[in-house]
Amino acid sequence: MIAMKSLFPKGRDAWIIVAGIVLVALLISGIAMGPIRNKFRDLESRISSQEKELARNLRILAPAARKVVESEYLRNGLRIQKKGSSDEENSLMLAELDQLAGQNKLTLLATKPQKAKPDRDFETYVVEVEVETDMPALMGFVYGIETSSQLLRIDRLTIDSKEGGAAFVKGVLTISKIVTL
Amino acid sequence: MKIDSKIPFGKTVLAIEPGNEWFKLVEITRNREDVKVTRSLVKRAAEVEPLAGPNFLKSIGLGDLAGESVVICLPRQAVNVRLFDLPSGDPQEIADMVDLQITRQTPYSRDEIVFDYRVFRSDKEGYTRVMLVIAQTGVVRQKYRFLEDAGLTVSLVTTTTDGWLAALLAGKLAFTKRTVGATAILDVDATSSDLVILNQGVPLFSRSLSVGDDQLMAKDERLRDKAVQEISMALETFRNETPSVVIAALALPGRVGENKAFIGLLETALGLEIVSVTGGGAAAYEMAGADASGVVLTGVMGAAMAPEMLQINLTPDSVQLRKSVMVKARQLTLMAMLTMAVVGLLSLVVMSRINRQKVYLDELNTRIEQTTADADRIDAMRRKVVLVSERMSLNMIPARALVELFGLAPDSMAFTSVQISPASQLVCRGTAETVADTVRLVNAMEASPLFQNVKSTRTVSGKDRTEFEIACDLERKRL
Repeated sequence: MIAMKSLFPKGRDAWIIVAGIVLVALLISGIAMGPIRNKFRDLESRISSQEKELARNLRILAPAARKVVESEYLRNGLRIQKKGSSDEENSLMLAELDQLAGQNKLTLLATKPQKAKPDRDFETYVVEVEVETDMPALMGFVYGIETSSQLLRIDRLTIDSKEGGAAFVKGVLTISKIVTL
Repeated sequence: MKIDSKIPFGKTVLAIEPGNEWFKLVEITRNREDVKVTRSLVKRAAEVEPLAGPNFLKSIGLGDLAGESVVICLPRQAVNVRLFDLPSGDPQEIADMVDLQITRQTPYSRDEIVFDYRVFRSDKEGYTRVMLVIAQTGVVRQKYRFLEDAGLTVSLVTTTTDGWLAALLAGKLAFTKRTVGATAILDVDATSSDLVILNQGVPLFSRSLSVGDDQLMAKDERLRDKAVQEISMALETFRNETPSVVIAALALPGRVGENKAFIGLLETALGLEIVSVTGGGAAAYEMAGADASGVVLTGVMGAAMAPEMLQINLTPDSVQLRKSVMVKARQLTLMAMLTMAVVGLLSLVVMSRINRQKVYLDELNTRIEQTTADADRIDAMRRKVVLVSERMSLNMIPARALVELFGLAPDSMAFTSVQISPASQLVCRGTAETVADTVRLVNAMEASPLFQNVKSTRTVSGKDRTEFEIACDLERKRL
């Protein structure tokens, strides 16, 4: 029997075969390895992205964090939950402003409600109000807005003194309300 | 064609002498200390030749030898042996000289013969004794093909003379008596004999004789005398050619060396001391049985006993070329198979890794699918809570800013305009009695935690009053 060892080439033949194998390996790495590498990269990128998403889900659903969010939501989150249509929400806001004006004995010279601005989780209602009154009444109106149950906020406020007398002022208030969807 | 020193000979060596009269086979198993005949077969050529083909070994009861390597020993009668001295000791020069000599030593053309030689030291200074062996290519090819068709792998083709010479020089064979002078070795086969005269291990004369056991042991006295006469004539020829060398003894390898009648006949006729040869492997003759009667196995057995000592290789170039091509083809096939195996293995590893990653990705997708709805719902709640919280943190900023501003301003100061922008910037304008009042207000606002970056942006001193404008940022945090 010819020994297995004798089947392995020696000398120059061995070098030629080694060079051939290297060439084939290079060709394989160039032609076949490229798509394989891309496939691995694609898979790894998808895995990495999905791992992040799962980690985010698990972080959010972690019992302690979840309990805090749920209890906080029940306590405050529901306060500004949208209850009716956009028009109804707008009317509610205007009604409260009217009521506050009445309570503070001031006249609303103009009320300019704007169209509701929708966002992903909430809608913003804005109204511009012009008033003419004395400072104590205006302060009462501002206080009333800031402590409103609808969480109304004054985004912009301009107060100008009236030329007729220092006690009277003209105020322009941009008031906003947010409701969650 | 010199013997390739890389030919691997294992522990078991098989040698076959496919002669015209007899087919002889000997298998030797070699240990460090000794050699042992493990198989021996002698059959008439007329019996085995019709069986030629792939089933040959089975037909002669040796089917287990299929695929084994074999040394072919051509009988002495099938080759020409020439002995001469060459004036060089350099192997390459000797090879070149033999190459030049070859056409003079044979009537055949170069294409019709194969040849090889065995070298010995010469008794002449600076010379080398060469034993040139020439065979007809056709004869070698025929024997080669016969055994190859039978499923054997031929390692090399030598001659019986080279076989027993190799065993003798390797010490596997030895004369029973040491003699002073040359020894004529008569290897007597059934119908022919090989006569070689050795002097101190160097062959001086070689002759193939057409007398064998059949004639020498014939009952007919005339036949015996004729046979002895031929041996005697051959010895006389040597004496005439080399008068300075005296033949001291005649050695008889094989069974004839034990035949007293035969020894007596030759002793009387030739006037020489007869010695026999030990290590001839009596077992081989016993295993061969009655068929081996009259035949000699010394050459074929010697080749199997000491294959590394063989120096003659009569394998035709074309066969060597074919073998080399086959070996190369096998090498390439093996390398291709190895490469394929490596590529296959790599593919398997890659596929397995891709598959594992896909399974993992599927698991991730399933978990995400199971948790996303809940997580999104809780996240929406969180965002709403944050929104409410932010909204609540802005509570009372304008009211507190106005109360703080009017509280800090001196009574002599009057505001004409106050603006609070969505970016929580406060700008107030008004009049004061002096610039110092304005500065005092700015300082007071800076001291208040509700106002930041307080700047007096405009101050105009008039006849009675000073106009001012102050800008600042409102602290958005709940205080």
